[in-house]
Amino acid sequence: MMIGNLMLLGGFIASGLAVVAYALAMRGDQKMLILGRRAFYTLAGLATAAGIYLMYLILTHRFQVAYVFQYSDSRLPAIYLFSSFWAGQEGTFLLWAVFGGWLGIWLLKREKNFEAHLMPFMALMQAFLFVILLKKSPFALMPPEQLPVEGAGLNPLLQNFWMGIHPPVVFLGYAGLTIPFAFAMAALLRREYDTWVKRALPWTLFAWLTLGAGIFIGGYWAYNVLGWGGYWGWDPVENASLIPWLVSTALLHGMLLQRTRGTIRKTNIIFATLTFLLILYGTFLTRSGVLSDFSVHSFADLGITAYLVGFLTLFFLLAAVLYVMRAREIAGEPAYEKVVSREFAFVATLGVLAAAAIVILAGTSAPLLTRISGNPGSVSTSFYNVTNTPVGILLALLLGLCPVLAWKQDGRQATLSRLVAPVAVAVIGAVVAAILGVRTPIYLFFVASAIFGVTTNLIMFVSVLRGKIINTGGYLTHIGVGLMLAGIVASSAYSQTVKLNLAANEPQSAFGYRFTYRGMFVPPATGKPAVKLEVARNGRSFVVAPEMYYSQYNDGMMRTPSIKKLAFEDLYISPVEKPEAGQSDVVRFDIAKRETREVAGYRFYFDKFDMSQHNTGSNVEQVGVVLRVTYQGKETTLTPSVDFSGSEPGFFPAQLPGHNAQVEIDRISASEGIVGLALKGIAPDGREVPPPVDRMVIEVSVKPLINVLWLGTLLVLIGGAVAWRRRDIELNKQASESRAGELPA
Amino acid sequence: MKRTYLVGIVVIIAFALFGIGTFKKSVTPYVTFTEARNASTPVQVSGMRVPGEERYDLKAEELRFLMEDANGDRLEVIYAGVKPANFEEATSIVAIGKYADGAFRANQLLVKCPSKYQGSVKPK
Repeated sequence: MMIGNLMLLGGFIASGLAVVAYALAMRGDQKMLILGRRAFYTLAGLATAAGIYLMYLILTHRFQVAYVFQYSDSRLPAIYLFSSFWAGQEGTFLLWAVFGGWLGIWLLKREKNFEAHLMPFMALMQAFLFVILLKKSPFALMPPEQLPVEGAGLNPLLQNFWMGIHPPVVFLGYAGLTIPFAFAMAALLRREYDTWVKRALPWTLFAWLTLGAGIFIGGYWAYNVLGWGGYWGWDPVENASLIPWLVSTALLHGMLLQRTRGTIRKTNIIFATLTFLLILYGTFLTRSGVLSDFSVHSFADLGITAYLVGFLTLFFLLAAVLYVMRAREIAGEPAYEKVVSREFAFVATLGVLAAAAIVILAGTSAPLLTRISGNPGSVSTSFYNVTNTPVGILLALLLGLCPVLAWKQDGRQATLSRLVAPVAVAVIGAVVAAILGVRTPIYLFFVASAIFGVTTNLIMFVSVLRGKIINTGGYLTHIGVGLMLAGIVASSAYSQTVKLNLAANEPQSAFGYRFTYRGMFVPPATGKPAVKLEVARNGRSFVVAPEMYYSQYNDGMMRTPSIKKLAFEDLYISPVEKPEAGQSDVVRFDIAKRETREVAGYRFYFDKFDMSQHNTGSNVEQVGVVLRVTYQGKETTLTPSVDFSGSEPGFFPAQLPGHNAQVEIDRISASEGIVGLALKGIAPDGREVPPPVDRMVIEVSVKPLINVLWLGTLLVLIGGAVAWRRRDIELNKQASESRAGELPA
Repeated sequence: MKRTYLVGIVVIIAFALFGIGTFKKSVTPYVTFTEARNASTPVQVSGMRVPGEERYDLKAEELRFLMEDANGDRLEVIYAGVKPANFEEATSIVAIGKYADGAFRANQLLVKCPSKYQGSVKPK
């Protein structure tokens, strides 16, 4: 609506003003600094106001706003109305702008020394987001000729707790990763190539932590909801967040190396810049429509492609020019002297992470790359799996070696003696894995590397824990990465899948479980039709209820898997298809009032309609058809009926004498006095046809050790949070010390 | 020092060649239905779903449906995986796989639906 667009326009103007004022303040102009600060507060306030306003429009069901119409309706539970905010493109850009504003204020409050050099870049990013929002506004109205009274609703796939929090966490991470970029640019402008790393480290850890959490949450959601059994599909949308995250991981390690050893100054500036540019590039890939024929997420071109490309180019040129201007004066020292040293392990880690980012980037960009030379194509997921296998092994080995390596010296002897125990554990682990069925050499090596990494870090973790918990962050994270790698290999390479075509009440066995289909039912907790499935193993049984229901929003069947978590594996059950009972078994015929017809060995006489259950004050609107049915000389009266009170008519058949067969009303034409009848369970010649069997096709998978993967992600995040706190405390201490030092003697 | 750099360069070149080789092996070009019928390697095709023509083959446990391209050419597609959730709503479908024995055997389906992430408002 108008006021919303005015807020966005105001935000854009304030962003531009903040860029210019802050840029002028770099020379020390206090007035400009204050103006820039006010402009930034204004743009953050306007972004927040626009966000609150959109939330208000969604909560009050203003369906004349196209965005509100498209992503919500009045029946949606209040909690999911928040999900509606970020269910579409416009809303996520607004969310990004809100977080960018908040983080910018937090940044300018804490980084007074760097403020004038940092904030122009933060403000420029905000300007970019406001341009996109103005071009594709969440406040756009529906065309005046259609003013809907109800919304289209929210995709049921998004009506899930994890999907509710996934976008905010990801966009907080995206917004946060602008900060190390701004620091790198500030460093170039100020010609201070070391201090920025200390200041930016906690910010980078925070952004890395949130984006990582967002990625993990997305994977967990996919595993629990989508039903194809995986958590990561190498889809462009997923890769768009993974690539900058990998580069930011490299940046974090590079920052730690520079902090400790004062080396790789240029590399860190490049990594900080690339992280940010890759976020913009990922946004371009997934939102411009260039991949619309290659992604499950169908992104239509919103007409913002030019702006995406424009700002990507602008930021790239800005960074490139600044870098080229300064590159020669940045002191470069060899990153390492000895190969058996922690420095070398760090450099190798940067290389491996960069390699992973490059191959995933190349794979994701395949449609663009191949377009140059002819038919555009995309790579299959095997490309990512194959190329990232050596990456995973190398990472596990490196993070396992790191704790036993010392800075600087080439302590081969000491290192070797510290390696004995972890290597022994890894070998034992590999032997156990081989006994359990891991026979492929590359996977055995993978598992052994992961166990090695976990072991060395666990030893360090325990010894550091005796001192200060706050110093354990890195080790915890690395234990987590090791567990993740082991869990990924076990759960994907050794996952087994089988499809079962189950007839009701007839058990079938797979993977040592016995599955019995007990028909469809509606669990009161969810109110959504589900498959009732009894699963038994070793005399113990449980019931699972994977959902399978028709969704009006998607105009199709929704299938939600059931996951039974066991100690060493997940049992993953997805409904596939409910085969229709054959229609050929039905005999249909019309009969008029007071008419007699002979069908399938029966004589039917249509006596009258039975309206006794119709409009009796209750909700029942049942119409019965009174039939006199003669079979082998005996006459009986049958009254099949239809209930019209619901949205779908409910049919009540009547049992035919002599056979296991029913007569049901097919259609009613009251004005003509004709009904259509359907006989089920009997053929036209009077032969009994066995009733159609209720069947259900399910897909069952076992995912060994997938809990190890989830445990690993949790440890990565906890470790990251601990490391963030540690660096944050260090920074505050430094700040208070330096302030104390500035006091006049 | 020099030796480690040399080793580093060799490792990088080896990984790059490995990456490029894998890329070439796993890239599936977009082709027309006619090209797909004659292709010997995996390809991808896209087209409109022909409504009402899909059926689930219980014995073979696979989904069969018809795709139609802009010229009206039709292609039968067989897919053995779980039917995508929004298949019935799909307007256009991308299938990745190989043509064999008179039908396109897809090992991956990308279903594109009009409602999600689209700018234009869908009148209901």
